[in-house]
Amino acid sequence: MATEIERQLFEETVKTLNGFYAEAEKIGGSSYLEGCLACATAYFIFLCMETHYEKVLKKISRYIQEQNEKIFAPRGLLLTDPVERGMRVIEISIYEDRCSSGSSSSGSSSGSGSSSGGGGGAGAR
Amino acid sequence: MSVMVVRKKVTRKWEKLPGRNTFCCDGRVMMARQKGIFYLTLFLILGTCTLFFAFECRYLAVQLSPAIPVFAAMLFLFSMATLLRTSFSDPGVIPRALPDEAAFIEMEIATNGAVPQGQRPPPRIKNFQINNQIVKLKYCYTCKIFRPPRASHCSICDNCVERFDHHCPWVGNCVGKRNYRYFYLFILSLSLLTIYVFAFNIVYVALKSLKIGFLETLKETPGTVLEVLICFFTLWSVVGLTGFHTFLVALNQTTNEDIKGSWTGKNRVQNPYSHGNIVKNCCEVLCGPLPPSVLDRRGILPLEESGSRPPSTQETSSSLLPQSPAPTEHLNSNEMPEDSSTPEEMPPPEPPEPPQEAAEAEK
Repeated sequence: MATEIERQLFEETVKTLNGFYAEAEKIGGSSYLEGCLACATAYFIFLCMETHYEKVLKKISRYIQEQNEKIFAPRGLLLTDPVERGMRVIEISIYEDRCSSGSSSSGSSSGSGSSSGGGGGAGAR
Repeated sequence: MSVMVVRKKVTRKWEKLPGRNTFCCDGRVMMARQKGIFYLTLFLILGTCTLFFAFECRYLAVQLSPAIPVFAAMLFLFSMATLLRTSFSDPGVIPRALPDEAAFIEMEIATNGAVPQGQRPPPRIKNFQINNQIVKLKYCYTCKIFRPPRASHCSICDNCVERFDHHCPWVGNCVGKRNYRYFYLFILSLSLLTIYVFAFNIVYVALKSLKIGFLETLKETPGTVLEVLICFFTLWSVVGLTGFHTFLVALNQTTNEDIKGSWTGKNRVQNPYSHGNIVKNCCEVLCGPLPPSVLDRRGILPLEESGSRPPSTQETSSSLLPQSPAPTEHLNSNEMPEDSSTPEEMPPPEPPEPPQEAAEAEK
């Protein structure tokens, strides 16, 4: 895969993603407030409100879509949102052009790259 | 000319999920298969509280204070809410690897170690360095994934669960990352409720005995004896359990780690997840951020596929490049392809965006 995409671009994408996950899992004043408010309402507040984590996950999926459109698709690659793989791996599909019809083969990079993509959430600790 | 409209039942992902779980309310509720003890828990709590409100509260509200039943009601509602939340939510189940990924990993394992046919290979461990700490990930042969740290496979539910604590039959579900705080609040509020009901039963018997005598009191409200017995036995177990879990929360450990002794012993690493500060540990475990379920239970499966591939990968890439047919290898051989021979049908609507579906599934 090193031939399809520059190492630096991929590293940057993974670093940004790790940053997002760190933001989602950040423990601080606002997350405590949300947790305590939720507990005080016996967690019924989650019926009307979205958690901070869910908001960040939406941001991540928009970012991945953007990256796919701008960087990965022109190189014949596709990044799958880690949330669809149980937040374990970041899956990169490589599209190969074969004679008659398009076919796909996918390889998953479970953290074997330079920055640990696998266990993105856990890596933020 | 006649137009035939066939209303096709959509298949949601929860119907094809592997593992031994039961789902209710079209995928909104997720529990373990054995629910008998959970029904017993419900019966005991509801029964005891009903007796308490029906008999003792009426007397005590008049004789002492109307605040007594009010507090009891609040405790009762809170413990029921947390119990149902613990039992019905996804504990943090990690979805199994898709056929492609599973095949790739198995091939890697096969090439790296020569294992004789028929014998189970030794547990594979992958080492990762995260934030200057070596983390060992164990391979799960059932789910065909390398488990994240602190995850464990529950043999009762046949799923890998993140931050696995234990499988609780009283609650009818596993206790893991996503429902640990509800479980803790449930046992805490149940302890308080038990102590409250026990104490006021004693007060009731004491007050009434002064007027009509001890035996007469028991004859008038025989339910009191039952309540005291239930509360007495519950006290010893639930209060003890609450104390134990308070200890675990203060150290940011799971029951599983405590039993295995993962962080204790001379040659072991100290718990890297603990902040060293009791207050900070409690805040993180009980009030920290709550990740949504990664099991897209309410997502809709497409009709053409036999159900093992989620539609989301095709959804994101359909606008980019042409798709090839799904791989013929499937993890679950017991899945039957959907009968797509009905004429003139409307295709089921594709979910707009998987993360939204997952968020929606929570509500």
